[in-house]
Amino acid sequence: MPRYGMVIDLDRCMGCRACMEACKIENATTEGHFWMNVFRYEEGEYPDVHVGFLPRPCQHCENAPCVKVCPVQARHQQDDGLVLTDFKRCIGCRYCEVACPYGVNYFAFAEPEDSYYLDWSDPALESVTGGAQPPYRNPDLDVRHGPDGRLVAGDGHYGGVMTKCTFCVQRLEKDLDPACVANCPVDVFTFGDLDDPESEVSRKLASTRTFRLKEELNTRPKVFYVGTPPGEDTRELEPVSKGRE
Amino acid sequence: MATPEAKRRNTAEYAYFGALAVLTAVVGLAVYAWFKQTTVGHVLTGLDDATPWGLYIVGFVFFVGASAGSTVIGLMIHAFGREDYAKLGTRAIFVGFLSLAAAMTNIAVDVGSIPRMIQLPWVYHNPTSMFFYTSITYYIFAGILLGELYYAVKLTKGTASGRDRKIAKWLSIAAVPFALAILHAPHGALFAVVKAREFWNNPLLPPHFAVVALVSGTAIMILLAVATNKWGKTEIASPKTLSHMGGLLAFFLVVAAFMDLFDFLVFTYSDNPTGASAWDVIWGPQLGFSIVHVAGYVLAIGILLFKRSDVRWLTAASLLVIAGVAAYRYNLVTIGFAQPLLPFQEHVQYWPSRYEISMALGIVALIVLSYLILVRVIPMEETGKARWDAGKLLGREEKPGAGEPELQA
Amino acid sequence: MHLTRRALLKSAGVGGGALLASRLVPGGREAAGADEESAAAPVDEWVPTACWIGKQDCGMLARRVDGRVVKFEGNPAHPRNAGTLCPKGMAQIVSVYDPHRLRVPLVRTNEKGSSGEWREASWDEALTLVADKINEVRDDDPKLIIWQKGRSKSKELYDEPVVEALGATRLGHGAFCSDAGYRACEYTTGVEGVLHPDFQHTRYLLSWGWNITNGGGNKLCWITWNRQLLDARERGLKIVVIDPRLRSAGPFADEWLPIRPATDLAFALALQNVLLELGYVDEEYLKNSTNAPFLVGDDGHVVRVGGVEAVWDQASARLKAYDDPTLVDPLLEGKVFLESGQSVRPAFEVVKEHVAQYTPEWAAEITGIPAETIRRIAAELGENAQIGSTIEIDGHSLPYRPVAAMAYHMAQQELGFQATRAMLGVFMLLGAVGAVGGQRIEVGKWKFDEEKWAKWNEVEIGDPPYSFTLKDSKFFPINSANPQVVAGVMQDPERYGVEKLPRMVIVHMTNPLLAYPDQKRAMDLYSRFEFVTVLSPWLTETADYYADVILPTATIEKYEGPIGGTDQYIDAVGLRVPPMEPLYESRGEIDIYLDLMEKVGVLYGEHGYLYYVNEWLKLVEIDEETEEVTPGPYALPLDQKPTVRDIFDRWAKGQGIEEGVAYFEQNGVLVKGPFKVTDFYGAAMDPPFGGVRHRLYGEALLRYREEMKAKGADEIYWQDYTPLPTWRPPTMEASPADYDLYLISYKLIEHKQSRSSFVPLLEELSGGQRLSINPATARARGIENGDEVWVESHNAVTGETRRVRVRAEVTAGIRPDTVGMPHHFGNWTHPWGQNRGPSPNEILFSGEGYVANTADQSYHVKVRVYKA
Repeated sequence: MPRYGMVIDLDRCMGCRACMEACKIENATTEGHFWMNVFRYEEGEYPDVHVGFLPRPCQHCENAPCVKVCPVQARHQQDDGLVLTDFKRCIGCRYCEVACPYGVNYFAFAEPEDSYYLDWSDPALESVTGGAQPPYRNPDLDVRHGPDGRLVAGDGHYGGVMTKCTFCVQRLEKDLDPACVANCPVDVFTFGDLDDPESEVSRKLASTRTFRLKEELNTRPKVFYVGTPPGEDTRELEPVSKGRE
Repeated sequence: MATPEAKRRNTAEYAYFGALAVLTAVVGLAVYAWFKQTTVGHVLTGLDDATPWGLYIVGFVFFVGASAGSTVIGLMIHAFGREDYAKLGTRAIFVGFLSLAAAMTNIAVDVGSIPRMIQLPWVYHNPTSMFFYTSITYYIFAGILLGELYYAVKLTKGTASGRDRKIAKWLSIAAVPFALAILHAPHGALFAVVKAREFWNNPLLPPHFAVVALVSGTAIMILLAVATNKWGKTEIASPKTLSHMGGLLAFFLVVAAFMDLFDFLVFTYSDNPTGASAWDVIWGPQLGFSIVHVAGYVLAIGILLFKRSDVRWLTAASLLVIAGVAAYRYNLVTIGFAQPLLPFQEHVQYWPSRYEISMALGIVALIVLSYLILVRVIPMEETGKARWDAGKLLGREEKPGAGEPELQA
Repeated sequence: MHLTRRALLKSAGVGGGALLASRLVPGGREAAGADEESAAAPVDEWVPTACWIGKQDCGMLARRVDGRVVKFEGNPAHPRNAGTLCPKGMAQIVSVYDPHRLRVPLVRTNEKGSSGEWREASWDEALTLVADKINEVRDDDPKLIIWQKGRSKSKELYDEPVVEALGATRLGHGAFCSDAGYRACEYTTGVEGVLHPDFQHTRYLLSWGWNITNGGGNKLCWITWNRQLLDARERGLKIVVIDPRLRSAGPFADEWLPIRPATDLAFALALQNVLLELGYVDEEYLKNSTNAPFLVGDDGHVVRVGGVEAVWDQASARLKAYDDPTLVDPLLEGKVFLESGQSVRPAFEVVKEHVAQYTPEWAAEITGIPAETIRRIAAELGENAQIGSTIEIDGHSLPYRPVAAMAYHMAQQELGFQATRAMLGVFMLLGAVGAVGGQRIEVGKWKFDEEKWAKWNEVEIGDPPYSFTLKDSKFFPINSANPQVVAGVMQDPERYGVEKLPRMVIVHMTNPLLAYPDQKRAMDLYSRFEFVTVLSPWLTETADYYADVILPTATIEKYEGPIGGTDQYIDAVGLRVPPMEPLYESRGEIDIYLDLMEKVGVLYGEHGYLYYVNEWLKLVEIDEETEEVTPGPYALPLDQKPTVRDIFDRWAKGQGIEEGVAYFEQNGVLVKGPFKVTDFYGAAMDPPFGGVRHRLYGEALLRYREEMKAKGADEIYWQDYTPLPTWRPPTMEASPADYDLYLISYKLIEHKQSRSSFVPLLEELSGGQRLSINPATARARGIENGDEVWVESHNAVTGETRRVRVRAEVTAGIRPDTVGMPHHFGNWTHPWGQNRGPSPNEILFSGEGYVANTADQSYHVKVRVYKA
């Protein structure tokens, strides 16, 4: 059983947000849901300005606060370390979102068919897409995954449930890297089995100084960062839209 | 020509049904809001991923607190032997039950799926979740309250046996620690265990919640007694009793205020960023709530210390207290989200949408409406010859078969 | 067919109760999927295609499940993007399926000049309408038909054959892009391209106005160069960012020089000044590969011997032709008195004397960069250039000068042509042009283009009447055919000595109302055409206001190409292969042109569309002298309408690919391998640089100046035609003092010009238009982050003012005297394009004072900013 983890090299990240879009398409995430979110920020005064970028997927904590607080065990951790939501069980209380120190949760505030940017119910289009919502919906999302066979992959299953990054559970099963990792134009991400000392991710961890976000909370994230952590006086630049009103 | 007395009664009736009509309208609006929210989604609320909990959760903790606090009346009657509280007994249980229902309604409109929520804790459960734990306590507390109500009605009707009286007594006494320690304090823990939100992550929050529960419960019972005295058929609380209740409220309120004061002190003393952000919101966008909280407490303490024997002042103090507690709960819940999780993010100010406000008002209206209707259906105090004898109630003197004639009739 | 629950409920007319019930008991997708797709395993396949949204045409694989395309991923075999895509490439699947795409041809039913009302037409009717108009205008003068492209993804099938078969006039987007830079490089070196580094070897980079990861625009901007830059940086590349705004260059900038907008020329001249002062000069390159030793008389003209430019041979102390085989050592510095008594100086001496005035102290005043910094940067350049050093690559010993500039869009300013020439001049002094690690121009091979080398040197400035593009005119002798200049001509043809004005325009995949500066002027232009037809997948704003007929084109669902696939080191060619049928009734452009050309009557036969396709796809050999055509084995017959697939099949086979187009349907890209070092480095060619002398000194520019003056052109036209780049303050500086800020524009990586600001996923990502403003500037105006502000621009020539309302983003990464807006947004036809803020093109100006001497567009204007 692998134990999945990720290293994110901030010294290479160029803040292009290609990973965010790869995630959006792969997981058919709805409007305003950024399971992978690349923050852009700056620090300092003109002209001594430092600009930084921070990709933030779910940290898949070993000691995941969201798993602890979920009243119905919809938020659960698999043996391979993936922290996932069972969309058939989630009651939508948002306690996980409240408890998560990283802000990785995205609640389905609207019904899926109202959340895919455009009105796709068009007969001419449906004759081509078979009525898929959205037309590019990945069919792997609508089947069960994991050892317990739970509905955990992708977004847009129900309104009123909590969603977040799954490390692309549907891709891992096919032996593919998560969509963000696979699509990074400048190889910011290293992904793999933390228990395998020979894996790329383990070697990167062994050879580089890394930090984790909010280590003082003892959540033990399985996402590690190379580079400089954002300082307390950083200011966000160019935030993504919060979704349409 | 109607007699003045009949006229007064007619006017009262008109007022009663008028109130029912207004409340029904408010509930109707809330039902519409709920329908919209259920079909469109929580996108209609002011909530977002930066502030996932808002007015509904405020309502939820407020009413759980009120529910727990209302047990103080039973405590007075049964543990302290205050017979003058006896006439408030049934109503207190009733308020407890309706408040619990209001809390549950708030949670129901807050969650994403009601059919899934009600499977908690029966079908799905997670022993490490505070929410799972509290979900069990609602059912137990509801059971206790229903039990109390059952025996209280029996007592009121005069059909209670000695054993019934004993059960009633111990239920009432057991309800107090259960409500405070097992039901409501864990609601403080619901927030306190969240390490991600420093504003809440404080071991004093659960006891603080318990004290505030007593504050709000007592204030509501004072208002209820004053209102029943005024509009009901009989006086259910004497000026002396009311004054005593005012004293109780003052005591609880001072303890709560002390806890706030030291919260404040610790909080401002530390210059960590959470403190700064929360501070900005407390004195910024939510200044109105902060003022209601602080000023409400301070003024109420002043009134209660010096003017509590005056019913009008007492009423004003109780209203101030309820507003203060509501404001406290509001700030507590929402300012938990004041500090953005990542250092470069900016605070997103939450305001409830009109859907949330409609529903919050509707829930209040719903329980007031229920109370007004049920108070006429369920016997609340002595009627006819089956007197509510505090002595009997307290089981000091066994008089078996006291209520039996009623039963036979 | 699946029905959504909502649609089902709606169609069944079920009331709120059922809707409520359906929400309370959520259905979800899983059941539907399981029920209906369990019968057979889905056909899950990956088919190659090419990105359509951007400029790089990255290789993609489309995942197709039971015929439905569900995702695009980068094609790992493609050298450009190596299995990855930028956010636009990833998000384009949403726009492919966009229900707001045009479905059928539309014919206008209301007056032009406001939002269109349309009736649907058949393809036959629409094409007949367009063809009839074309023939009507052709009978008058075919040149009066404009074919205007924005994104042409297949020059070989659109730009050339369509225009040539019709005899039309072509307008491109180059004047709004980097054509001034192209002209500067073509004139100076004979290579088509603009300045970029040799990432594999460059050690010191001046990143000039290139926002590195967000700047975009230049050829391989989105992925390829970013990868190369990051790798180079890990190998020790030092990056000096020269830009008024820092943004995405931030994490990679070893040093940031926030230069005052539009003063790049002054900075480059000061660098030359210091290099000359410190003696960082590659004499060998200058003597052998440039016109630096050419002798220049006091009149500025080059002395010739027997018609050939003369140099002074120091060995024999005699005047010799520069290509005289007996020449030993040409003089580079000093002064020579000829027998005639004329005093002449080598061009290099003229350069030295000219540049002597441009001291770092002088430049500091103008650019806002401290003099000591300029000195230091110049010294670092000189040191890092390692003049005289060589490196061994593939057995060739080559000059090694690991310093270069990335200065693609330095061209986008009033002094863009000369600024680019001055920058190139810096690297000529260092001998870095075409050297290993040095300054590169063309992407890929060092392609010396004889035609362009001659063309810009030999412009014959004629007399009126001029063509409406003002080609060969006394106004813009070197001319990038700027549509906004055409707009000026149409407003006042007499002033420009133009008699015949264009009558119709075929707008091919562009949206000039939004894409280019000066929206007002563009509106005026399009309102003056008798007939406008637009080819586009969407109702563009241009079509909305001015099209008579709209022809709906496919997006990615078509064969198109051939597409270059190089990453500048590896040679590759690709083809766009349709992963699905065209949606609705849209059609690929080649299909449309085949039918249109047939209707016009120029499809078949000699000098018809197919004839030119044969020529451009190299399916025939045409003797340049005799025009004799020798058909190759795969030439298209000139009397049959081919299918588009057949055209590409023949092309592929003509390229020596046996499988024909099937190869691309299988692989998407043909990787030919790394370029040979002797093809790649100009200095490694035999003879070096194609045997030409790079024009450090621009004698032809002086000639143009003299002729323009003689023909009575105003100073504003000839002032920048100087043989050496010469500083003057930009025209906009004449705006009143209360227009105290410079407006600059730039790209976002989330968007590609005007063509993506309505793609929902990208709009969500970009967050809409924002004005970058320095905290001090914002504070002084009472502006806080997120406030709405007015940006009001002033035209220093006409006095006109314009303003737009936009949200401010306060950032310390911009000069206090500068504000910036990305040049996207401002759409109004698509629901996702609306209310995303204005385009800066609404307040930028075109025309005199805001175009370069080569007719290229400037993106600078003075503005004032105040709270809305």
